[in-house]
Amino acid sequence: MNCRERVLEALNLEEPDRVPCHSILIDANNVDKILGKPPMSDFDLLEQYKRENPDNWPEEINKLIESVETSIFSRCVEAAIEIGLDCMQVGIVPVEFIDDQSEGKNLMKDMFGRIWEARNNEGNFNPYYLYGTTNSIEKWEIVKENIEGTVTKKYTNMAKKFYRRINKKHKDKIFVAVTNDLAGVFESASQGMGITYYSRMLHKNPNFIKEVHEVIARFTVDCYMSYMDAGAELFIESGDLAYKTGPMMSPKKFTEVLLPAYRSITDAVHERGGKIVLHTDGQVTPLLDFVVNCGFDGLQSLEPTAGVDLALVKKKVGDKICLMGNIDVAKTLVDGTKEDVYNEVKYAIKTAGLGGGFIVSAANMHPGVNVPNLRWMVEATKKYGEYPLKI
Amino acid sequence: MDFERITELIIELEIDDIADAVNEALETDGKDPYDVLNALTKGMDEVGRRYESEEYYLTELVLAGETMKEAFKIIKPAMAASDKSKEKAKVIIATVRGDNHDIGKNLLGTLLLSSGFEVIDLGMDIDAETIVEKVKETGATIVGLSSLLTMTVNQIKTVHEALKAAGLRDNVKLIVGGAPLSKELAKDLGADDFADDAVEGVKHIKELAES
Repeated sequence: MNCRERVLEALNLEEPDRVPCHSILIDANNVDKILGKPPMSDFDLLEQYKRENPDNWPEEINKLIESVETSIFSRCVEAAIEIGLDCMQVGIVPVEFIDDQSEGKNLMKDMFGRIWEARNNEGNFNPYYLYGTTNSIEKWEIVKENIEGTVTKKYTNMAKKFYRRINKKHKDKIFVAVTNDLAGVFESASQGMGITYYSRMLHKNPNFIKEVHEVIARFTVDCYMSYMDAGAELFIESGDLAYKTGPMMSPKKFTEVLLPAYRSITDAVHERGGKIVLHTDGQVTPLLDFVVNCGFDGLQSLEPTAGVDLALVKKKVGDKICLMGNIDVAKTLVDGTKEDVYNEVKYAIKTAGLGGGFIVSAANMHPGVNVPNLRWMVEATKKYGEYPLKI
Repeated sequence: MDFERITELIIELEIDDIADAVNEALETDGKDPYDVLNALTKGMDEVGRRYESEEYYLTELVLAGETMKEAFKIIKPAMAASDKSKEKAKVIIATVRGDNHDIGKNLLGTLLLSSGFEVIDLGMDIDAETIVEKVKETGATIVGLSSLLTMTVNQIKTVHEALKAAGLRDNVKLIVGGAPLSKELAKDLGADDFADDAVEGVKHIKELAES
């Protein structure tokens, strides 16, 4: 089987030739460690633009966003191929630099009203959420008008070109999935408004929150359809619906205000024969039925630090959705030994791999993850993951 | 305005009505601000109970915190002017250097206020030097640190060592919380205590204050 067939077989809840191995986006500092540093870093480029265009550098550098993102994600896929992953995900991040360098920070804004800091991760851009600005109905109306106006066209065009370029280059060596990491429906809404205003409106006016989710979902569908036009088959919806000890809101409320939006996305992807997985960190166990009812084909993260019990999840929904993740990024993939990594992968495969429907994957990703540990995760998957399982 | 109504407004997260209710209790009915505070605290205790029993979730907890803040805007000056005003245990809270997450920290701050602590909230992305200076300046005996990123948990150790170097560590209890942390890791980093979330954090801080 090739990477694509292996991953799709697992998503169909079948046993492929072996358990596939996936990771969400590898941070650029680690990509540099795997592939070597590029001649010019993102921050070198930024500084050059600031020097050469002191009055309008944000405007000038924003013209390059598409090519910068294409290059960053393409290198990430190359790194994933180099370490032997079966699947890597890419996706346009809809941020732009703004001419506000408060406290010496390089600030960016996205279409949902979030302010980001472009942090310097060993010369690479690392967008870091600071706060939301869509904290009134009036401000949301402006955001909505923007989303429903020219912005969608801009990003759908960009998405098509972006994915076509990356997939054409790498599709024979790896299965390239698409993600809306940093632009998922729930996080864009709750972070765009800020959690305080979001919580207030959720209590006072849940229909408003439902509408916000649905507007962002329509944008997501438009983008996903463009990616599909360019050949994409697998999507990973960025969710972050839970935190360390439980869901951000009750499963009942999630069903009321978010399920219709998610359903519109999963239906659109399925209609064209695609697959879609939800990524959410945190203690997600109370939301398992919600995830299934939204129509997702899989659930990614299954974070051990948050106490997610893989055996329990397999028992509850393992016959309905594909499970992806459970390899710890707080310790095991940061400073765990080779034995730690092998044992964790072995446990995950033994617990969730039987009968298929499981993909080994890092529960999340951050710059502190250690490259050799990632390689061990892949090696261990290949060692223990061959079907029929012998562990 | 009876106290039960104030308690209920907190429990039912009625952020738009709480300020008027507290004002009415103080101004019209001439209630003692500390009795009003007790009514608010009773409400927050019930919110905490509902959170622990999974009737309430994070979004309700956030809104309850904001409702309390509205009440505090009214009640704080009245409490300061009251002859019952007394010295409270001081707690410094902050999100560590390099980290801009503040939901848990803010919740902890509000819950501590409603439990009678004086809270000095330094904000997010705070370095060890600032924390040491603030401990010196305020005489706080408890420091609560939040770190939501694996990349920033080592800042806890930096704060622990900076307090030690300044000769303050023995006078200060250090409690930490955040997604990548566990009891064991917290101990390794030099903290005295660890809590999984803000509700648990308040309980632990009460114990630390009494120890």
